[in-house]
Amino acid sequence: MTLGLHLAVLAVLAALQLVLPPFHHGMVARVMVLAAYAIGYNLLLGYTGLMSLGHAIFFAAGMYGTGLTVHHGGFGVAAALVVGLAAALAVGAVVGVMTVRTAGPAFLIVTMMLAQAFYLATLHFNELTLGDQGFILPALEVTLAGRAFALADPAVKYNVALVVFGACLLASLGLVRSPVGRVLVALRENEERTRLLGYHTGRYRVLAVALSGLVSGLAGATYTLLFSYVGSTFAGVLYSIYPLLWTLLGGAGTTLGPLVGTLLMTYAIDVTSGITDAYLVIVGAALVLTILWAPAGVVGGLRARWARWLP
Amino acid sequence: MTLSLERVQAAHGEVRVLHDVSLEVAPGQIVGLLGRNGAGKTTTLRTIMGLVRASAGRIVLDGVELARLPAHEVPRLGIGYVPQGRRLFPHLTVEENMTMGLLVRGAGADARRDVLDLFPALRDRLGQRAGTLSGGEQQMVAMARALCVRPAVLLLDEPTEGLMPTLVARLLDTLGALRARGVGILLVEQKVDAVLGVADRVVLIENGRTVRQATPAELAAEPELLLRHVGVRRR
Repeated sequence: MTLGLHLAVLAVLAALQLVLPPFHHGMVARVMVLAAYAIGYNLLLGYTGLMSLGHAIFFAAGMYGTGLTVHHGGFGVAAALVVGLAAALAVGAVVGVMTVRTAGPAFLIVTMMLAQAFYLATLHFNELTLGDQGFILPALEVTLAGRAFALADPAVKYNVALVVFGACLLASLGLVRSPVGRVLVALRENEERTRLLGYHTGRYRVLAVALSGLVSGLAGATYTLLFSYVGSTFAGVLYSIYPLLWTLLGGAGTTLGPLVGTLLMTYAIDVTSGITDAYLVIVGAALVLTILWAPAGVVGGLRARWARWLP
Repeated sequence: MTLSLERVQAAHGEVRVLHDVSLEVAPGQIVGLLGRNGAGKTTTLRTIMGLVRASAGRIVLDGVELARLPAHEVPRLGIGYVPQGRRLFPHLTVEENMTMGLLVRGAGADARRDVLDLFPALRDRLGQRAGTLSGGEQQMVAMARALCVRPAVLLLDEPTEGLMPTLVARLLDTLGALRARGVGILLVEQKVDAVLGVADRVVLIENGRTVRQATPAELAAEPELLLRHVGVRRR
């Protein structure tokens, strides 16, 4: 039933492209890529119990790893994507090792400082990164079965975003149901107790941060390939806060929460910003009300009230 | 497997808590560890598990020195630990709590069945979140989870705390069943009568030192020992 629900969600997203008007077509493609980022964040916050305030470091590592190799090295899409993923995984492993002895507020602060250091590095090495201004990638194509597809094509963009999101969603579902996923949840519940059952908790924590970084980096790499832009904004603190809000709104520790949270918040900002300049006040109030109604987030609230089987 | 502690010392930071602790738990034997509050009973268990580092002495399980091992290695060698207050994973179900124990040493359906045979009441609770169970059921889950690791030696820290008398009696029966299966048990308990009723041997600890080892019959013959070292007068 659980797998069926997730496949049904992916089928709905696939079908939506046939009916959505052009603006929302692009919007939903963007939401899917950002939801993949939130899935990466959720692996750490929702399933391992570690709240990061520096996740932009992973998103940006994937983005810069991919973007720089295309921009300066002339790499193709596949090779650039591999470099982006390797960069995100490496950064994830390093951050995991550096934070292995921290928890709670200390983990939050250390991740924030590391992300700020990365952000400042993107500004400092501006000859390479073009700093705040960033750079635009040339038109890119992927070749499949001998046929070239332009990533700028809205249909290609939508379906690549869907494939990446689907892969992240199903991978996260598989992970949380696996023995490794169970250990991560046990870590969230009580780290000392988990160690006393015989688990090397430090190793699992590093693994969790590295996997979270890899998924977030995949989202960053995909974003840069589909939307053809790399800039230090994506390494800034706002892009560390966004996945936290999306995950909390949708439901931390639920596989579908990141999609729901990202979708709701992106559209809430889009709709309210068309009505007033003070749209963040309205979005903030809506967020507060939602969290008051469902402290565990939208999907978390549904799970608590009606569908306890939701993963 | 025999667990033995030889002249173990340990400290919390600058404060030495264990000065000289020696005891032995043989297979199929229940050893009670009795002492006043603050005597070092819980610290002894935490030192065996590697949560508090032994600064001197030896902790040996079947010839393997435990004192220098990281904490996560100790359960893998065959020591189960049920801490005071149970410390379950409250948001996981009973089944998931048990699975966490089963996965550690790759134990399968046999181990799960054996454990549920010891705690049949848990069969109806497998899908329930552990945090929503009664105190007695939570204690059963805590012990079941520790037993899923298939320990040769089980360390229990005040397992009867907060349980009503009928549940205490049932729990002590379970300890007897574990003894019959060859599991060695080190039992820390405040309820002196419960320990004397089930233990094969009792170790008295005072100010971080093991001061006397005796059988329950010997302690019954010398009630002043309990009064002096545990502060309990028995009739």
